[in-house]
Amino acid sequence: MTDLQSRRAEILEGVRAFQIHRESTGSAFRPGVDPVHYAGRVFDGDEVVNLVDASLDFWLTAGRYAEEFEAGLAEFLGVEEALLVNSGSSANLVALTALTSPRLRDRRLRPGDEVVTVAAGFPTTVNPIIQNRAVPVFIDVQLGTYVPSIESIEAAVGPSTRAVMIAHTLGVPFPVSEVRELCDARGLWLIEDNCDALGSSYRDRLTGTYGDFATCSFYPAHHITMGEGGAVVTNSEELARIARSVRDWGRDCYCAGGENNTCGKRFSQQFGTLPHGYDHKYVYSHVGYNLKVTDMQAAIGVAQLGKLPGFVAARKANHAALHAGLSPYTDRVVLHEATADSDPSWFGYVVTVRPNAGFTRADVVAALEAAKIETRNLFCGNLLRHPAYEGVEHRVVGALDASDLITTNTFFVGVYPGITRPMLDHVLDAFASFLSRH
Amino acid sequence: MDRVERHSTDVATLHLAWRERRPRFRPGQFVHVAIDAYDPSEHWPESRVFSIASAPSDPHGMRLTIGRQGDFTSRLLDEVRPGRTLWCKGPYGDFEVHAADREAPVALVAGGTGITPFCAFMEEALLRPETTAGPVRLYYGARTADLLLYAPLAERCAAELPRFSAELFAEEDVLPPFVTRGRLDIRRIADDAAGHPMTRFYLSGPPVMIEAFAGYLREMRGIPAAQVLVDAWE
Repeated sequence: MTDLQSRRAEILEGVRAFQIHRESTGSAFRPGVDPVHYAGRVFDGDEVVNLVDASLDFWLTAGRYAEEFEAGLAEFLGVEEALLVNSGSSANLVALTALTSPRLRDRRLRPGDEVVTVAAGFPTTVNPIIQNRAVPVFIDVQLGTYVPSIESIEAAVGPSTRAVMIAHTLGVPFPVSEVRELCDARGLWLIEDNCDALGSSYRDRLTGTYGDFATCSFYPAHHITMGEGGAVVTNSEELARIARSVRDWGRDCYCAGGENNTCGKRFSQQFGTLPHGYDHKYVYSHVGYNLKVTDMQAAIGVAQLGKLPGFVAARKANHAALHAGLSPYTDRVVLHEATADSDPSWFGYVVTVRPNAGFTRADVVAALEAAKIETRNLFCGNLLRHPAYEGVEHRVVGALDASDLITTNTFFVGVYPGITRPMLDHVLDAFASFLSRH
Repeated sequence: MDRVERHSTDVATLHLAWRERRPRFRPGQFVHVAIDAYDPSEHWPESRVFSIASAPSDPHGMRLTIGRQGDFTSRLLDEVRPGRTLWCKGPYGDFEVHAADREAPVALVAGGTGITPFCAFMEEALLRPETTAGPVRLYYGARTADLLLYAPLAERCAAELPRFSAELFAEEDVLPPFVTRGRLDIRRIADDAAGHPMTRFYLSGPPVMIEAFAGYLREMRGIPAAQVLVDAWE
């Protein structure tokens, strides 16, 4: 071991000791005093050691940890290619933009092409469609699962439809196997927004493996985190190469940061009307972005990825406990349900207050928040009711009744692995206390 | 490195076992190999590229055939002993050899050590014959028969794969039975493919040979550029 290596080992040992000490100073949960967060990062010395290790490398941009994370995520999902980006929203942007690539010739998405999506979800599932001058076609979701039925997706496909881009909202798989068959039959691209659903499965196959692309998010609220981060996954080498270009400024060259001429043809190719041999590092085949991560982020992700199976199990157990505890109240609230043939890796526990419940969402949320239980809306509710989407070209197929009800009556609480049994009991007690009075 | 297979004083095949995860690659792709240890806080050390000669689905590791060309390859041939750790990164390259299309014949043209990108293809075809749907004809030439390092592999493919044939060339007077006296002749290779306009030509070998052969196919025979694939290197 060199002097530098032994000093690094010494520092990392100290970092781990620091984290162990920090964990030992925590106190027991105090109901009504300590918050029950809707989500949060769950970590130990592994993440902190990796973060410091990457910092000591001082490589800064994507490096060895990014490479390790991409390989590990691809292996977890059983896909060929995984590309790290700096957020789940960026992943959606990269995936949709990649489908507009001229490399796809007549299969590419063009301005005016329609993309089927849902009205009630997260805005950045839809934004890339608009940003690429395609036309979103909004459909409703189903109360309870908060994802659309295959019938509603099929009904939305028209002569200009070229793609389907839908999220497995809050962990619940939409009927992705049937959607895959529909897309194959109608020649449509499929993007699975898997940001809320890492570890979910549909018909015994992981979500994120059905789409031409799927996306992941590693924001702290998600199943694993690296602070800011996301990924695009695909089984197509061609799509992966396009996505990498879109992520990396739009360049044609695939050398990683710090690399030169890995193709051996850096100064000897012809591109467009550029002079022959124009430096391949600065040849652009797409109108791209820079959406890469740093290696410090990826280092945290590597440690988190090893914990993912345990995290998924904890989310399922916490969701099941809440579901059992809330089941007496179905006359007043709609409980959170899985779709048929699915096994969700739940993001949260979603509750919709029935219109005739005798109380409002604001009432129950106020009671929970007063008990220090964090709640969140189901993101934006009906997206079309937000100012940003006024005047945006779109099509709506069917009524959006559920989306509107979600806007006014739906919220969720946490099931993340940091939630303990005493916290779950406190959440259920708070619900019971409120519902006994209403 | 597990072991070294010496072909001559200037050519050897390195048998490598993966210390960490095994990379996915396609026949025809290459890796960068560094001898000096890679420190992640520094840039990648001095390295050279080598085509992967083993099959992507070979469970035993990776093989690289090294010819002596300068100081770096001399270090690989003379200094590196079994048990040593080498650093590899990749795979790279878009010279991906495949014969998945039943209707599109493939002509593999290899000059000397230019055979290595085709070795991964041939090894894979033997391990997984279903990956080779279209007819494949290998043209493999070297100055002397002993430089046709992968002649046994070519012979085995020709014997075991119904849609694979091979012609080997060397310039000596006395030759083994499977080798024809002469040189690679791109005119004849193009003639062989004349009735098959979908034929894809994969060219690998010395730069002068590749340039001349590719130019002939494109300019003299009107083969579309997309069907002439070259393992070019600056």
